[in-house]
Amino acid sequence: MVWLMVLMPIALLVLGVPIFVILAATSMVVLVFSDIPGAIMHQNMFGGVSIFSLMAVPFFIFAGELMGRGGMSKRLIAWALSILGGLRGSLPLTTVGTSTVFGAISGSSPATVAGVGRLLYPSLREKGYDEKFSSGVITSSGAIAIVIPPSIAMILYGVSAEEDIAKLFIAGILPGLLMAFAMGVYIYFYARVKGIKESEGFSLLKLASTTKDGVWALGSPFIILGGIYSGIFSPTESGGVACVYAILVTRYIYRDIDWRGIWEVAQSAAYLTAQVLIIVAAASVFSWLLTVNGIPQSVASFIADMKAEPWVILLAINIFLLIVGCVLDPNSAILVLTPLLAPVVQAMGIDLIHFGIIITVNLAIGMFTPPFGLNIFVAQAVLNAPLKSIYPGLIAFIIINIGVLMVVTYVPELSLFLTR
Amino acid sequence: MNDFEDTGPLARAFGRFLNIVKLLIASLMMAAIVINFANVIARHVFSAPFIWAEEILIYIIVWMVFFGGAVVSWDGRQLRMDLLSSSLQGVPGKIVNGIAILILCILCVFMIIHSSEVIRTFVDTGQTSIATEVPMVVPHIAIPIGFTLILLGALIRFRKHLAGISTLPDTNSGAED
Repeated sequence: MVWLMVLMPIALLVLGVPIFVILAATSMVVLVFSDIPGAIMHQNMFGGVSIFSLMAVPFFIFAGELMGRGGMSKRLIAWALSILGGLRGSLPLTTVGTSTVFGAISGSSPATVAGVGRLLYPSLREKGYDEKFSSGVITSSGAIAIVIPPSIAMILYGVSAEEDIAKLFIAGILPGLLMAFAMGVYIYFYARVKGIKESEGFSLLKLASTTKDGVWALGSPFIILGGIYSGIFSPTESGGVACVYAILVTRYIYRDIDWRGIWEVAQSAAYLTAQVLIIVAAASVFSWLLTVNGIPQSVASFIADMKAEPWVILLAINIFLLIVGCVLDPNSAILVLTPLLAPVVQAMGIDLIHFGIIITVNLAIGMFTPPFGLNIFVAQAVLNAPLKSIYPGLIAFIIINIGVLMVVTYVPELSLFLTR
Repeated sequence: MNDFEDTGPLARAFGRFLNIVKLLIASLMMAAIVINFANVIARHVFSAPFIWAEEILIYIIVWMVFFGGAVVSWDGRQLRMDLLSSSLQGVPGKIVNGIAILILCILCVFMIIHSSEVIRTFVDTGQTSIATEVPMVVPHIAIPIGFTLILLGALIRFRKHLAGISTLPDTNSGAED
């Protein structure tokens, strides 16, 4: 039965069968062979999605899409540029800064690449940054969005590992900022070495004007994170409040969108929610069967018997997750792997909130790791850049982010400090 | 529009029906936003939260997932790893695609049969939810209906797929010539 639960999903995955079908079909075969009533499938699927915390998923998708459809990206870019305008490498630094703030609103990595990349790529090229570097910085900085809260991946991890989603959100703040900072340092020195000067200089007047224009867009992360951090809202409630805020700002303050547009965003958000959460439904049956068959416990005791140091096991898990991240989207990977890996790391005494951040950073790197990271294909479509330029441009950013991953992995306080 | 470009009357009719389902899930999305926000206001401003809000929001998400899942499935937009399958052309590609549809159909039939058992139990016992006293059939029925819609879509797809295989040009004939 164990082999069936390992080999069948791998075979179906290679054949390109949808992930929810893989998980549900494997569970169906296991149930038939185990003589367990088929009604268990229904009960677990219902139980898997009838969780209040999951309602945060459509809320954050809706708020992010709505803010993204309006002229928010433009306003955020102008604001970031007015702060960073005095520095060397101000345009690529603005790309990273905008992606970070955009991520604090949308939580979607491809949406960030598309929203920020479309607007900044022509300017980057114009100012003398080559195709490789420009596409590399856009493709990689979009990944910060799934580490900076709100993060759909973290909501799914929280539900799967039965951990506090609010704590996960807060734990993601410093690692997300570290990713942005590390990329920023590289960009600064890159621009310095290449002798690129695109600086317009810092102007307090300009900062005041862009802040005034962008204040409503910038308010969204404050409402989401402030509400959760202060304990006023649960993550689900803050998602819902962010939706109402996004409607008010885009419809009545910026006047970027009409009610028809809002309706279209609702349709799109519900659609994307179904796309992700139907996997949650199937994964809940699959993980129930894993538990009933004692597979996570067997994996945990197998690893314990190896008597390897925890840092070695964490390194092995990191390498495994980086490989998985190259071929599987973060949400699916989290739903499939969390029930297997969480008991292993828990047995090693690793905090599951900390592990949630490790897994998220890993899969975020996978989003822009060749050959199949999702952001790469979004960038290819949006920037109209060939893969032979995008791939080499990513190498430096992958190395930098693996460095960040090591810090996140071996310095738990970076993730846990704000949660205490 | 589905991703396999079937413009036959059956596919068109089913597509039109799923447009109504899209309206339903978008309405549920908007309703969820309103209920959640009203509950936040009621709790923080009037210190009187709606005790039914959480339960209704949970039922909304169940409906959204399984009805929306049917639309996603019809569009062929389920999340998958298509590295190999997308590179397969001609007969091998058709066979792999056919296997995937067949597995989906078997799964749907299995789910419809066993979900119906659960629904029958709820009907027989008349069980209702705690806060809203909604019959438990209401949220649970989304699963068999969702899988029935997925099955219908898959069958239309399978029919088109079989027709595609029967009209597929013989790729070896050129080489032999």
